[in-house]
Amino acid sequence: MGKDFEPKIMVFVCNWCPLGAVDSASRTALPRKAQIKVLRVLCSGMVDPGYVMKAFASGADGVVVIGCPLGNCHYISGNIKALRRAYLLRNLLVGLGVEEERFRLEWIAHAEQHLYVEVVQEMSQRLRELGRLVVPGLFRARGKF
Amino acid sequence: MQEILDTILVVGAGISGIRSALDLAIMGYSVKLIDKANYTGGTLVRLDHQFPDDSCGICRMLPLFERDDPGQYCLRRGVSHDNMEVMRATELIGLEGEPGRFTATLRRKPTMVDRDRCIGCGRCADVCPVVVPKRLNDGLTMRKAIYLPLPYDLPNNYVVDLDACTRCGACQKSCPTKAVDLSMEASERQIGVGAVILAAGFGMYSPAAEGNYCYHHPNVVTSLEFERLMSPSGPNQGRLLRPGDGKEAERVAWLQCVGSRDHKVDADFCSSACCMYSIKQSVLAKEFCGQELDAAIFYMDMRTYGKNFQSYRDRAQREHGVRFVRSRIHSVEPSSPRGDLNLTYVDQGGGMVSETFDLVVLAVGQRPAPDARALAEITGISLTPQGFVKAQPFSLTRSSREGIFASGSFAGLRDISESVIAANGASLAASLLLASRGKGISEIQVAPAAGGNRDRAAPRVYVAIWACGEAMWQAADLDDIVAQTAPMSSVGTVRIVRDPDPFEGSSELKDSVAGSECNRLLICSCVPNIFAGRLRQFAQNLGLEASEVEVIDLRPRLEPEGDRDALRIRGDIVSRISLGVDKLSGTLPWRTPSAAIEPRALVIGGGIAGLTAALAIANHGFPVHVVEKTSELGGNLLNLRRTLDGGQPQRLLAETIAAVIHHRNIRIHKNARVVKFEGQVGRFATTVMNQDATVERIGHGVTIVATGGREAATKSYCFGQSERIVTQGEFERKLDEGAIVAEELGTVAMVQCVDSREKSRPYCSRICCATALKNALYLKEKNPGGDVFIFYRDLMSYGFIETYYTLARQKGVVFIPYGVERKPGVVVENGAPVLTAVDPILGREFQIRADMLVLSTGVVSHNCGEPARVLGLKLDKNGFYQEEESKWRPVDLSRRGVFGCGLAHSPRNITESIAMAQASALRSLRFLSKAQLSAGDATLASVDPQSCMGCRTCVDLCEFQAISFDDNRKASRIDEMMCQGCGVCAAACPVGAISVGNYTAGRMIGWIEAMLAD
Repeated sequence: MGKDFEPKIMVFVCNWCPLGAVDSASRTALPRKAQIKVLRVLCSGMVDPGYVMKAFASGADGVVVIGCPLGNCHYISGNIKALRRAYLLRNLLVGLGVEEERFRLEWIAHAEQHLYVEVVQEMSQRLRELGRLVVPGLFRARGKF
Repeated sequence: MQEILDTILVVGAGISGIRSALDLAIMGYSVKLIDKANYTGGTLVRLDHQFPDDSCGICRMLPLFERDDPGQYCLRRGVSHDNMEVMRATELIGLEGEPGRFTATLRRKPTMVDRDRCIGCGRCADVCPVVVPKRLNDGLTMRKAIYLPLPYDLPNNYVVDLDACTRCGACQKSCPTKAVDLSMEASERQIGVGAVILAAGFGMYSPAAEGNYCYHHPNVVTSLEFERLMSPSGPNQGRLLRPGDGKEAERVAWLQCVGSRDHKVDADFCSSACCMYSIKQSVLAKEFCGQELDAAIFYMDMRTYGKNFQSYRDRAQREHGVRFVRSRIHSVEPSSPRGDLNLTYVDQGGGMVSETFDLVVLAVGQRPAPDARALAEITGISLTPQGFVKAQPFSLTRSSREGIFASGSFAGLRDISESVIAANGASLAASLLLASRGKGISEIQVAPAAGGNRDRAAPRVYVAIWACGEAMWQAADLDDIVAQTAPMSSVGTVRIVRDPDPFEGSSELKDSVAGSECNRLLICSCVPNIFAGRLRQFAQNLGLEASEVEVIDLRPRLEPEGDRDALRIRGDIVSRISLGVDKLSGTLPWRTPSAAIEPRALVIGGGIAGLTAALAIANHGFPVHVVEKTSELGGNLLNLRRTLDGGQPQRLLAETIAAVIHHRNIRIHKNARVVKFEGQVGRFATTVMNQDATVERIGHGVTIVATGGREAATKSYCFGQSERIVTQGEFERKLDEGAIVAEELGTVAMVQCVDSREKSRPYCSRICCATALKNALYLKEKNPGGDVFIFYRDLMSYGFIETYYTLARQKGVVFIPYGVERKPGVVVENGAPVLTAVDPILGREFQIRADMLVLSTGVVSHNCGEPARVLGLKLDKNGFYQEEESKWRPVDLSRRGVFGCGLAHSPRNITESIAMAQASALRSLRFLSKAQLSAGDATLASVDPQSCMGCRTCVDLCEFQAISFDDNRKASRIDEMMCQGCGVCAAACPVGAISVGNYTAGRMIGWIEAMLAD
């Protein structure tokens, strides 16, 4: 993969704890050589695995879902549901030939903007090594969406 | 005569201030919330985790109904509500007038930065030459003289630290939006308010002057500094490094009672919260650094008196291996100027022990708020000798002056849960005052909240691009962006707005939007956060609903990035605008489900808690039914003759009962019980069986459960084998009846924690230590020559009860600690109890022949099982009602619209039970005050019954009991009132039958595609 490869990272960010960190990180240094697309959702628990698959199918090289630290969920246990789902999703992605590191589920508190920057930076670096995601054919089969 | 005002001023925007302000705003009052700091959140902004669950969850203070009235974001980022004006950097400097019609003078300190122009780019801080310690991190990190008070704040504005600023003007020159103005001056403003709530928080003891704690050493920190050391936003971004030399901390000691329970520093009180926060810090440190970290807490008494506190401590000890060392500290001495510390202490056996630690944390006590004296002078209220607000008897919130109320820790020493309860109480007191003067919530009802059913007209989007900061636009060609935006489908008008203040220029915009026949507005701004919490008001000004306005952020993409060319920046902006247009044009017209509220309350339990709550609701003009199981009102209070602080409980009870039975809004059902309970918040239907076996059905909107508790029975310590062995309750009663004469008792022994705080009953009953002190002091008063021995484990004389512990020792009461593994032994000889115990210092056994043995058996809930079953409420593992959230919603029980107070919730003394009853009443009034309760949010889930395959996955997943399975339709059904719109059900539905408001799967997929398209 060429030097100029700019990975696309789709970030689903929960409206509660992590949004503060993501908002404040937007004014600090984010990696230059990555396109970061942030979509606010109400809760990490509302991120259907289908959305993650869709993001990969639509050209994302990596996907990050960010929820509130465990115990802090505004909706009591949405993040735990996201966690349970992530195990299955990860297995599914690996089974389809998507490298495990292309999907991350993170818990970030309001004040942990450095953690967000770290996550995005680590991921963009790893994605540059992995290169562009070649979407496996199976993705095109229509499931729920 | 001047009219009574329905505006309430809340001074201080910490947890309690926010709670009080939200309470009143939700009820419909107009609230002015001020704080002298540049941010809201008070002390909480420095605490990332709080006991007893080690998480935050402050957002759970936001209302579950009418959710769009306050801003829907983390409360640490700021607070807003349609009925609330928040003024930062503002102080109360004068108060004239009388209750119901005060005139308050507010002074706004200049921040030198125009809040509506600042885009938070940070160039000013880059050029600022002044570096000062950052107060947020307790000086552990540095910042500039122009700085962001909180990095995640909303809206996020820079402010100037006037004490540090040299007025060099560099920031002013660097500001791209001309927001910095160093000539800004303080402004004063007068407002009319009906009542004032003081929530100015508390101060912290400074150990600087105390030599033996060695606080000048960099590795000796206060508890608040330790919070920052551990915090991800602190100096080490979450790693626990000691400040002296940056070494990873491996051995940490917590020293309790620094500046508390100490006559030398004029603190004859216990700060109440330190024991618990030290346990929390030690547990978190263990979790952060691994189990090999040595965490030791050095204490006198571990005061775990709150609900579930004892099990928290037990867990810390058992599961996390935190060491608890009962000791007195001799000294802390450095072994090197930046290195280890030697701690010398006297252990329980009286021996001197030395240990070495990396870091020593001083659990510093609370002090009155720094502004307490000034505020007391301005508002004309009295303070206690220690400088705290002097509250009226049996009240935590009523000050010496009518119309001025104290909220949260401003009036005393409290943790979060207690502060929230007291804050609710203060709101109730303010509301009661105004209600009594004819300005209650029913009188101030305004038009129902906005929202409604709008036409499904084809969406036409008005795109307004705020050209904030001309310099920033050089990279992007505005005209080209306009040219590319105009042809997008659904776009009606594109306009560049040059006024930097969107709120000031809104009338011009209004005309323009109206003239364009657009029904949606897309705001493209570099200051998107400025709209947070004000969007609805802004939209209403323009004749739109909040859901018809969308704000998108252009700023990060506008920052000059050397390696990006203008074309790409332009492309990026256009795609953002396109996404915004798409979001808006697909937005469904807002339909707010709402439900009628039955304006009536049901109170179960006629003790002081139930009666207090009933009276408060009835005084607001709403009918209340009180169901009492027995033939007499009063509950446990009937048995209490005195309180520790000399209060007169019988007078209180008599007055309360007199008020209740003569109240035209209150109906009492004696000898009655609830046999059936149906419905949900707003429309409960309860069947009550009266004494004569007649059955009555009562429709009501809210329920308060105060079914009470009782003194536990025991078989320990030979109870029952001699009439000289009694419980504390019996002892007090017999003293009053004359069955026991204090003057005739030579030696009285008391044993605390009977069957409590051990496996069989793992909680602390909170009130027994104070009761023992009360009875011991009574004995000493009547018979100064008699001996009183109190065997205790940890003496729970929290808060100002400590004063009576000191007094008891001065009067000669002997306190003997015992461990749960070596309890005092009791035998009965010739009808009298003989105790055998071990002297902890001498290590020798001794015997006491007592005339009376008094057992503190603790409190158990009064048969909560039965009402819990009928009402469908959860009980905790100790048999008390389980609250929904112990910190942020302490009186809300597991069923929406049901509140709990009194001993059935948790053991508490009279004043605390009353406070809790007031909190329950306040929470109830929130519902009763509305004729219609609306869900108030566009984001609600709904089920397509055609697609639902009936797997019921969603039913169990919903945390808000909003989903049920409809057997007739063979499909899940979502109660829109209960739904909170989190979308968990939609994501889990295997067939995609559930969609969430404007976040439908189709739209989400569309956005994902649009965002990732090149």
